[in-house]
Amino acid sequence: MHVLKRIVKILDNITLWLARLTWWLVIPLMAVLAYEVIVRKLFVSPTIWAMDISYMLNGILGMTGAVYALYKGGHIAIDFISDRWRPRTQAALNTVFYITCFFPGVSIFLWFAWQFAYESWLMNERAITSAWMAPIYPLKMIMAVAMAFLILQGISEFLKNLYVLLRGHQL
Amino acid sequence: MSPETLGLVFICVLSVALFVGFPVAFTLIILSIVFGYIGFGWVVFDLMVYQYFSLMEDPIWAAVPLFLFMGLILEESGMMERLFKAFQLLLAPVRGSLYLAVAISAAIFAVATGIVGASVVLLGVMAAPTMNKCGYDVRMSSGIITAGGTLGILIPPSVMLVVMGPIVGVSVVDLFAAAIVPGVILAGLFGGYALVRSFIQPHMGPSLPKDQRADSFMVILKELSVGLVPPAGLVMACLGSILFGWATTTEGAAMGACGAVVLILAYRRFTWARVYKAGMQTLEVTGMVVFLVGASNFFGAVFSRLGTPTMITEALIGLGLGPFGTILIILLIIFILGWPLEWIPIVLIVVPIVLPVVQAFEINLIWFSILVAVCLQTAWLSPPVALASYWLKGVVPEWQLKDIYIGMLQFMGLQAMGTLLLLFFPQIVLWLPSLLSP
Repeated sequence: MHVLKRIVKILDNITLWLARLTWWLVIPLMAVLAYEVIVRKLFVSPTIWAMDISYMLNGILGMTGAVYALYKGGHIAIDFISDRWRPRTQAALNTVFYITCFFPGVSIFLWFAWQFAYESWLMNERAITSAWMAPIYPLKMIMAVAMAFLILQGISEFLKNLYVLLRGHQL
Repeated sequence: MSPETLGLVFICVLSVALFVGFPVAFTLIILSIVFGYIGFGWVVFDLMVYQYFSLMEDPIWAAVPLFLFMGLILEESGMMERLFKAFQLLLAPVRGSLYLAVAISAAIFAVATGIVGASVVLLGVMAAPTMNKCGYDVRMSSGIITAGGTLGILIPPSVMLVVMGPIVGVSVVDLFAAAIVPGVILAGLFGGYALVRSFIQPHMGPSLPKDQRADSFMVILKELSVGLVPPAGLVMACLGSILFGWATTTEGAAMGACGAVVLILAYRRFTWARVYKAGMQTLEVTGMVVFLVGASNFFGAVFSRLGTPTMITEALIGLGLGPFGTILIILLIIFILGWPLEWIPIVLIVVPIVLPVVQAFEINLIWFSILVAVCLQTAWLSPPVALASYWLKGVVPEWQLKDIYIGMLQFMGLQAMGTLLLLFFPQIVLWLPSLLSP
C-alpha cells in the first residue's frame, strides 16, 4: 500500500503545481481590463487586444481550475443524501462512478478536444473576435491539455476511493 | 422510441443519477454523450467540444473570476468590520440598533461580494458577541444575520446573476439594474421588522449600554468616513461603471477587483499570503463554475436537439394555467428544489428546462430571472437543509440550532412577502432597467 500512497501523492502534487502556476493569471486579467477601461474612457484610444486576452486568460483559469477543484472536492455534487451513508458505501459508489462516468466521459472529451485543437493548429487558425486576429489554437490546446490533467487527478481520486472501499479508512 | 421520449427518459435517468452524490458536471457530460449519441449519432461529440469552446470564447465569463477575486480580497481586507463598527456606533442609542446595523452593513457588503458563506460568517463573528453581551434575542439575531448574509447572491454584482444572464438570454447589466430595488426592499423589510419588534418588546433589542457607545460625535464621524467612503467609491467604480454603460460587465468586474486591491493596501492588510489564498480559492470556484456551465450548456444543446423542451412546453401550456399560474408553479418548483440543491444546479439545469414555457407566454425574462433569484435566496434560509444556519452555528456555537431555525423561519416569511410584492408589482423590478436603457 506504500506504493499506492506514493502514486496518489505524486498525482496530487502535479495538480497542486498546475494550480500554483495558473492562479496568478487573475491579476493580469484584472490589470488588462482596467487598463482598457482607462485608455478608452480617458484617452479615447481603445486597445484591440484587451477583450481577446481577457477570455483567453479566463479560459486557462476555468480549465485548470476544474482540475484543481477536483483535487479540492470543489465540484458541486448533490450529496445531501449520500452524506448520511457509511464512508465505505460512498466509496463503493464513487469507485463505480469513476469507472462508468468520469473516465469514459473525460477521455472522450480529451480525444475530441485534441482533434479540434490539432485541426486548428494545422491551419494556423486565428481568432475572428477582434481585429487583433490572435492565434486561437493555443486556447483550444489548453482545453485538451486540461482534460489530460483532469484524468491524472481523476486517477488519484479513484485510488483514494478504492482504498477506502478495500480498507475502510482514509489513505 | 421517438427522440422526444428519449429526452424524457434522459431527464429521469439524470435526476436519479444526480442524487447519488457524484459531481454534477461529470454526470451531465457522460449522460449527454450517451443519450445524444443514441438520439442523433456522431454530431454529439462536436456539439460537446463546441459548447465548451464557445464558453471559453465569451468574455462575459471572465467576470466570474474577477467578481470572486474582488469578494475574497475584500473579505480579507477587514472592510466589513469597519463598516459594521461605524454603523454600530452611529445607531447605538436606538432600540434594536444592532439589528439595524447588521441589516445595513449586510446590504452594503452584498454589493461588494456575491459570496453568501462569507457574509454570514463575517456578520456572525462581528455581531454575535455584542448581541450576546447586550442581551439581544437569539432568534431574531440569528434570523437577521442569516437573512442579511444571503442578500449577497441577490444584490449586484452577484455571481449568480452573471451566470443567469447568458442562460436566460438577457443582458447581465439589465439583471444588475433590476436586482437593486428588490434587494434594497428586502433589506428594508428585514431591518424594519426587527426594529418594530424591538420597539414593541424592548427586551428583544435594547439600545446599547454606555460602554458600547462612542465618546463624541467626532469618533462616529471618523469611523463612518473610514468605514463607509472607501466601499462607496469601490461600488461606484464597479457597479456604477457597469450600470452607466462606461464599461462592460467584465470590465466593471476588473475595476472592482482593482479597487479591492487598492482598498486592502489602504487598510494596511495586504500580504502575499492573503492574495495567494484569495487567488487559489478564485481558481477553484472559477473552475467549478466554468466546467459546470459548459457541461450544462452541452446538456441543454443535446436536450433541445432531441425536441423534448417543445414537448414539455406544449404539455404545460395545455394545462391551461395561464401565464400567472405557470409562473407560480415554476417558482414553487424552484423553491422546493432549492431546499436540497444549491443555486448552481438549479440555474443551470432547471431554468433552461422551464425557459421555453416562460418564453411561450411572453413573460418578461428580466422579471422572471429576478423572481427566480429571490426564490433561490429564500431557499438558503429554509431549514433543515439551510446552509446559512450551519455557517452561523459554526462561528457562534453557543446559539442553539433550534433557535437559529426559528429565527430564520420568521425571515423566510418576510422573504415570501417580498416575493409576492415582486410578483404583483413587476414595476419594482423593471423600473430601474427601463430608466437606464430607454
